[in-house]
Amino acid sequence: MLSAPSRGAALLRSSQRVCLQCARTSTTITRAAPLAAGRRYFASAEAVATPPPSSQTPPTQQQTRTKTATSPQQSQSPAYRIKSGIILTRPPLLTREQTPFESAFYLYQKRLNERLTAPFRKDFYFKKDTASDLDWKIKLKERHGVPAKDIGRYNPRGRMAWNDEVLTGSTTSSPENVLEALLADAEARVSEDGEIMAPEERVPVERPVPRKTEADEKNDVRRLDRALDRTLYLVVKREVEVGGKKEAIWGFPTGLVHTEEGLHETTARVLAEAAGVNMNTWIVGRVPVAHQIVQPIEKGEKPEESKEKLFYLEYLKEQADLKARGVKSEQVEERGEKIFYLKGRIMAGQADLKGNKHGYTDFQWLTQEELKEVLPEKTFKSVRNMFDLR
Amino acid sequence: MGSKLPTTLLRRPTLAGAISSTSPPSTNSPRLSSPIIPINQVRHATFVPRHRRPYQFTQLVQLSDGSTYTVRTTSPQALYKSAKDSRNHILWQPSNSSLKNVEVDEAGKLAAFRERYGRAWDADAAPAAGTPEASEAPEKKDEPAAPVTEEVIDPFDSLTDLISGFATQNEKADMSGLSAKEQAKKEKFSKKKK
Amino acid sequence: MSSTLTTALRGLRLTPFLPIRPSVTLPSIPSRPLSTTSVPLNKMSPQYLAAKGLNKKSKAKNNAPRQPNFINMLRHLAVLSPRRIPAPLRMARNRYLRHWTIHRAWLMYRRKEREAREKVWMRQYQSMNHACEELRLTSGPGSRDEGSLFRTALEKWGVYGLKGVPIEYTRAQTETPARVAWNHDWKR
Repeated sequence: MLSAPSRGAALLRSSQRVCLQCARTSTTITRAAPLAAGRRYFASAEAVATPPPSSQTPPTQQQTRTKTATSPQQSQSPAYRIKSGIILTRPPLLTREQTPFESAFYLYQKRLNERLTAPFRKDFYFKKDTASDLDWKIKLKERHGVPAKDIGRYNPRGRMAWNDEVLTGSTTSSPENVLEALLADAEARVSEDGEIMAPEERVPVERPVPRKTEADEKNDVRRLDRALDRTLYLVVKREVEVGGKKEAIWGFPTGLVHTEEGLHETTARVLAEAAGVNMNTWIVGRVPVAHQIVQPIEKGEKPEESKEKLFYLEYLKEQADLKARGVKSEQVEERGEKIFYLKGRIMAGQADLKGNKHGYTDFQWLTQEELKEVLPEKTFKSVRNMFDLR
Repeated sequence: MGSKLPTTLLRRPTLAGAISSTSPPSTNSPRLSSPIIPINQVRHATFVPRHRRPYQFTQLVQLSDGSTYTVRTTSPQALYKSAKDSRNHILWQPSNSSLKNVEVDEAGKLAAFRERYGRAWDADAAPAAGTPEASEAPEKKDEPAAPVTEEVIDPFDSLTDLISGFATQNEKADMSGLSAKEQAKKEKFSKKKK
Repeated sequence: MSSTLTTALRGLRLTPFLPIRPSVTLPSIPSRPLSTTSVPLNKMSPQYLAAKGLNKKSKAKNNAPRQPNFINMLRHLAVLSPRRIPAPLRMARNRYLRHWTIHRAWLMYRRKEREAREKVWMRQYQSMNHACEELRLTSGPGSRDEGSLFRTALEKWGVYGLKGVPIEYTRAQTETPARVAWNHDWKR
């Protein structure tokens, strides 16, 4: 392991070096920004009370607050509580839908292929005068001599070989038609004895399950087999009393990081405590994928105006605690929070909020767009960059 | 915006590339007809090897759990039903307990064997408490055996009683999901350990 | 055509252009006039083999029972021989224009998809980078040093190796779901 100063120096040097090619196209590449006030390239051993300049409140306000802290113990304690959250996702189980351009292109390519490949040799696959051979002959005749099932009627040889394009508005290319053609061909027309089966005798083939499941129809947001071609994210609800009336706030499960724990250990513990153990999950490594900084509640600020601050129960517990001890509200050290989210994947099972210690009352599995409507604005903005394509 | 992306930065514009990508189609494209004839005309016929590709069909592959996808293949079969794949194999579904110790008893041969020689030779027979009386070899049962599922495992029948006194707890190696070669290796290793 | 050919060859040689005769494949008995020595026995000649009854074809036909009809691989692969492969396509002007348009549209479509994917990766990377930077400048819970959580987060224990990624995570996407799309009743 490199020592702290040498690591910082190496970073500085590499940021100023660019290869010849990149130096030539220098208009697009931005130069490394000069060191911002207070930002260092190494982590020093001493505890730093001032928050980094990227936080939302202006630095001056923070500094005045730390200066006016009364007790010596409080001035040494850090300004932020550290929490770890879990963004548990169910990856998509299905491929995305084919766009109309894609389907049309695939049909075009298949028709071209028909013109450019070697002809199909039936004798290699079907032995003469067997049941499968008769079956093939019947189906081939119905397709007017075209061996492929999904390209419609086209003969690559002869006087109409030039006519390989379908007309606009044709449905030959749609995935549903292709599926129907394949399933129709999969049906056996000749029995094992070699007898041609009448339409009533033909056994229909097991159809594939439709892409929209029952949960899609009912729009049941608590089930995991909804929206199978999208990623689903787990969010939990907490009900908080604000000025006499109850408000529901949604967010990701979070918990305080204990002194001896690493972020990944806290995340695993929070997941087990909040959503139960009957889920086959995997937390992806130890590195956080997103972070959120919650500013402490200002002296004059009303809690109703900062809904997401109420989501974090620790703040309210602490307030209640201090009040019980008789500490006056002006003397209360109001700390903000830094939440680091880790990504988790679920492979089987379902969340169960029964008996969870964090006070969550309900859960939902939502897609990206639904998250935008349900999550508080600042939480959504913190996590939206970790979303996947779909 | 596009120039900031990694792959677009890597694509160095070449003179030849620029010309070929934006040229109007009136010039001969080498893709569909014969090569461009240079100024010093030489018309020796040269053999240009063309792609010799077999005829291909679209096929629906249905896995053992019912999910499907399409593939391009030379097989004329429209629907391919897979009996054994990663969806019902224990190596890929380690948490699926129903896949463990799957015994396909076709023609009732295993049941007949158990009837004659008892359950001593079962792979997952639990070693019973080691007693000296149980060291007798199991006798051939002449009477018809009870159905396999309802058989009461008689502790005196198990041959593992013989060795349970000498064997340690971890001797029983888990052989599920391993090929014959790997099983042999494991046995050899455990023998060496002794 | 021949005039251009000869003009091209003028500088090189003046030998006449001779057609290449196909080589004679059948063995023939060489003519030997005015020779008194006897012709040496050619044990590979068809006449000799027929006389001796060593001709494979006739033997197979008459004596051995009819063999089962195995697939003739040569005949199957013959359809892939260069002579029998369809010729490169030739298109009229408008037809070629349509083909060119479709090709360009497909390339553009692929570029759009690729750029969307790369943008998502860039966003995800930046989000992680920003979170790690924040963590690096954070003094840990209680009395922990600044950046100690960051250093724990960047350790690589258990990341690489056989148990690094659970095998159930490697489930491939399909086009239609399974009969039981999701196992909600999974218990640890």
